[in-house]
Amino acid sequence: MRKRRLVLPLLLLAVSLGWIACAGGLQPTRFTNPDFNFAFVEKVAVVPMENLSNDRQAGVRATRLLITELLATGAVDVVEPGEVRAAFDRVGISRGTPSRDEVIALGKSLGVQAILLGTVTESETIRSGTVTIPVVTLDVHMLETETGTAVWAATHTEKGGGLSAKLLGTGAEPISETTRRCVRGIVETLVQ
Amino acid sequence: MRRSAIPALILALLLAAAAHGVVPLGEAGALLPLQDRVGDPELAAAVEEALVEELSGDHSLVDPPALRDALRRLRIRDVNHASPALLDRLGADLGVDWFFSATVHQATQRRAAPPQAGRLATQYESTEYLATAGSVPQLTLSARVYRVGGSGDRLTWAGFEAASGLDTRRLLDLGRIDDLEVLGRRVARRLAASLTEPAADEKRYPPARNGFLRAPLAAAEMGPVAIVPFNAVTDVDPTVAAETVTELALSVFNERGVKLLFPGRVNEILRRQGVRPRGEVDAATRAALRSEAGAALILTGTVESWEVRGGGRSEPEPRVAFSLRLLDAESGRILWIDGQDRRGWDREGLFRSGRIYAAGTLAEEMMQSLAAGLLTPREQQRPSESGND
Repeated sequence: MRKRRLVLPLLLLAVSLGWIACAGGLQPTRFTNPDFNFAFVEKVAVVPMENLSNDRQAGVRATRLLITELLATGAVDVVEPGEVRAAFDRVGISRGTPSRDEVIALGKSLGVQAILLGTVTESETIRSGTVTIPVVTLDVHMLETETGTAVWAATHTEKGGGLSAKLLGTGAEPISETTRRCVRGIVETLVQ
Repeated sequence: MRRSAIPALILALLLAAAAHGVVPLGEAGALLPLQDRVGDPELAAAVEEALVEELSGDHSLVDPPALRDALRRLRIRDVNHASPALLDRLGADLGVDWFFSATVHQATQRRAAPPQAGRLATQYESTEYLATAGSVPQLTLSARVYRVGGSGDRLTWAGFEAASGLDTRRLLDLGRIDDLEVLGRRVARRLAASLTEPAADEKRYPPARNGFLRAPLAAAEMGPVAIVPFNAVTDVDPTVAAETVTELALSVFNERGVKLLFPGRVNEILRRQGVRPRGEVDAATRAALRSEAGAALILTGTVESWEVRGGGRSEPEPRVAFSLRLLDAESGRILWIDGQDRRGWDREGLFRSGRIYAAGTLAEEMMQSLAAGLLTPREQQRPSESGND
């Protein structure tokens, strides 16, 4: 009889814990051009990501993690950022998103089949009571360098903080870890 | 003497000789003027005095007036950027075999604020104020040794030391250092002493493996590495943060047996290129470093965060984040990229054990972990590969 009284509360507790643990975030939203042969892409250039957040380091951090995650897949090689900057100078691109002709010129200059551009739209730590939760939103797209056309795009939001942070308000993860998971979620939609 | 004791005696002598291999005993050297990035003359004087005391015990140092005259004659203002050729000339002028150059990168002393006026302080606040009513100084130093007339492109030795006034604190706040100059002397002595101490135990630092690595590298197998100065995007003092982490990389990778090009040589090549790259390398710079200095690999990186919070009424907690990248000098391919983002208290144990209070100390732990993730441990290298130049 005592055991039966405990079953319902334990079941409710398990469901609550599961709901809290799963309340992490949405799946990435993505677009993939069905007519483009991604096997053709062997080497890419990552353009420094634009940063629309108040976190000054967010753009540099996200760019570095995107390069790391792309290399880690083993699917593509990534050009050294210094060579990308030099190519921008050679082609004469100073600010903003490169035009179609500029993308084609960059491809020839760097010897890459695609370039990746992106934006950090959100990178902040939200405080909810005693709990601090880092939130990162990234938007990344790929342009192939033969015609300058967009062949892939993805956007994803990731929230930090594990179960203990949500329940007990302790041990919030660094925002760099949240950014890493967000980048990984995006790269997984490209390399599956 | 027993025959069985002779091999042990010979071994002891060899070990002693090896320990002084960087700067053999009795060789004449020069302690170059301290590079003070902080602008605190009293601290600089205390650090210099401690370095002189420590180094002159085992070596003969050239007189400071003679050194100053020679530096003025050769127009050397910042020795950290002087080329090997210029240092060789300086060495010939002074008749010395080596130079020791130290830099004070950062020194802070945060003063506690008293409890707010007009409000009764709680017992905790009063106690906390009294405990931190002095200050919590922090200090970061680095040093290099250059051997005159040696292999002009190679760095002989690099060291790095950082500390906080709370590092030696024990029960009842005993051992705490509240005076920045006292801390400066202690850290300077440790830095000079590390010239003859064995390298830190590599197993102490768990390897970082959050990045990308094409293949683990053995330090002895790696060709000469050029360290291109790091970039920094920190909110405060990015130039200081970048220089500090660059020097830290020199120290850690040198300690792990990686052959490093002399930084002055790297700077000379970059100057001739007409570029001052920070944290990235283009194809022309890479080609110049390869052809003129024989660089096989290039290491650079970016400092994303370098800050210390607290230190007033509360204990200081540093937050440091940086990333490193290793490139093949021939192809420009990225061979390794990794980074760390840590806080000083993130591995705290019971009763505040394991807390790191100084940003430099935290950064050193991070750099050691990153290096451990890149390099194969020394004991895994085949005997024929280790220690050969």
